[in-house]
Amino acid sequence: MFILCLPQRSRASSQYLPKECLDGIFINFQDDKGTLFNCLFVCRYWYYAAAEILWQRPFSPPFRSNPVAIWETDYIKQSKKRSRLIQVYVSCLGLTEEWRSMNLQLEDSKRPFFNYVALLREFHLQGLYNSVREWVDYYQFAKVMEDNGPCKGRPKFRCLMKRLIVGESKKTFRVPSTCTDFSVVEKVVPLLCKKILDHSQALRVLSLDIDRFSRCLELYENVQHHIPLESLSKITSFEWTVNRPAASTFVRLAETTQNLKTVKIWRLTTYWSKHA
Amino acid sequence: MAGADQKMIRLTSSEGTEFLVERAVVEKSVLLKNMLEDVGESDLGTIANLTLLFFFIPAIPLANVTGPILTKVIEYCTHHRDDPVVTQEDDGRKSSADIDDWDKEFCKVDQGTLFELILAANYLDIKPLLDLTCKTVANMIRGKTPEEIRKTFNIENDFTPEEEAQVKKENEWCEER
Repeated sequence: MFILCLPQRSRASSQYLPKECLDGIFINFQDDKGTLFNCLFVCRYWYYAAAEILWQRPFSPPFRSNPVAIWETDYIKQSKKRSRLIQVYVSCLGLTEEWRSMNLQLEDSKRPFFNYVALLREFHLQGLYNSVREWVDYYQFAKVMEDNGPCKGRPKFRCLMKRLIVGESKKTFRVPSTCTDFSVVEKVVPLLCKKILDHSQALRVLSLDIDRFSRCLELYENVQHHIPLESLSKITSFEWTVNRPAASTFVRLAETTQNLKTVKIWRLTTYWSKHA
Repeated sequence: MAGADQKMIRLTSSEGTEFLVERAVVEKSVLLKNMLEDVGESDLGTIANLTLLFFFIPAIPLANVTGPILTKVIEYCTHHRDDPVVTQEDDGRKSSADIDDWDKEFCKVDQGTLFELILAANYLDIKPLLDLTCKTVANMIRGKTPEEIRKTFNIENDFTPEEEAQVKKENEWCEER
């Protein structure tokens, strides 16, 4: 006869629920980041379960692609958050030295609480591009603000916000797209992209799809040669914007993946490929 | 009640309480269903005369499900016995609003029982019951601050203040305001 036995628990409590049960609860918050965020702080056990969902797809759509069209306060808030995301990724990927050598802003180099990169399941190159751009913009805001004079003890960010919201001129302050420092974006995106792909063993969705208005297209063309397809065995969806897709890439992809369901390939328009 | 040709299964809870349950109800549990299939037809008695054959029906001991919980589980499975089987494919999106009235009533139990039900559903592999109970717990969590959540579920905070600050900083980007 069967004896179906698991270690007996005298009293079930949320703290001792098996991980898969906690996952079953948290899956209900997939679209409710606010609640998941609160769950992070409950205890360590909850933290790991919640972080797993929160960090699954930090670079996924919907993209807020055009900062010019976004109200400045929203954009600054957003870019402040994004700058934090990029910083965490930089420390997780061990890029702090490179960052310093490139003279880029890094608020602290403390070891992250968890290797969040390992939780990445969906990677969208466009999302990374946008995040980096927002991060760059955020530091430009900070600089603009500094140039505008001292802020008497108030956190700089809030001071700028205040100035923008109730500022003397009451004019809406917008980010001209031309003020983004693209030289940094061009340096950072390919580096991050390569590192992220190297470190992600459990990606499900990989999208190297980029909007044709993004800068540094030639660098993306370059990135494709560095995709470590061998480590992407769990991938189910693959999107790609490319000029000359190399047949060998597909052969490698076909050899390594078993669960692949969708492949989308976009071609850059002739104009943009010439431009690039 | 069961028809004459309805196969019955005996389930024994951890304290030894026995439950005589129709096979169709028992099969809501994937674990037990697979088990019964492995055993095959020959070992299981078809019941014609309940009193006479009772002791010939093989019993399945469920060592980590208590009597009261097993009663609830059987209640759930009996009510949902005719529900179509949900496949892995089409349960992608879940919303926690759509719990029907019977299920809502079913979940009005104390917290300990609710967690025991989750454990039992997970162990017996009854996906719809697991989803329902998890959804109920999720609804209890939604909108609460970390401190309120800890209080509700009697959880001890094992973060140091420094760690908490670090976690907050690192996860700032996903905070919704």
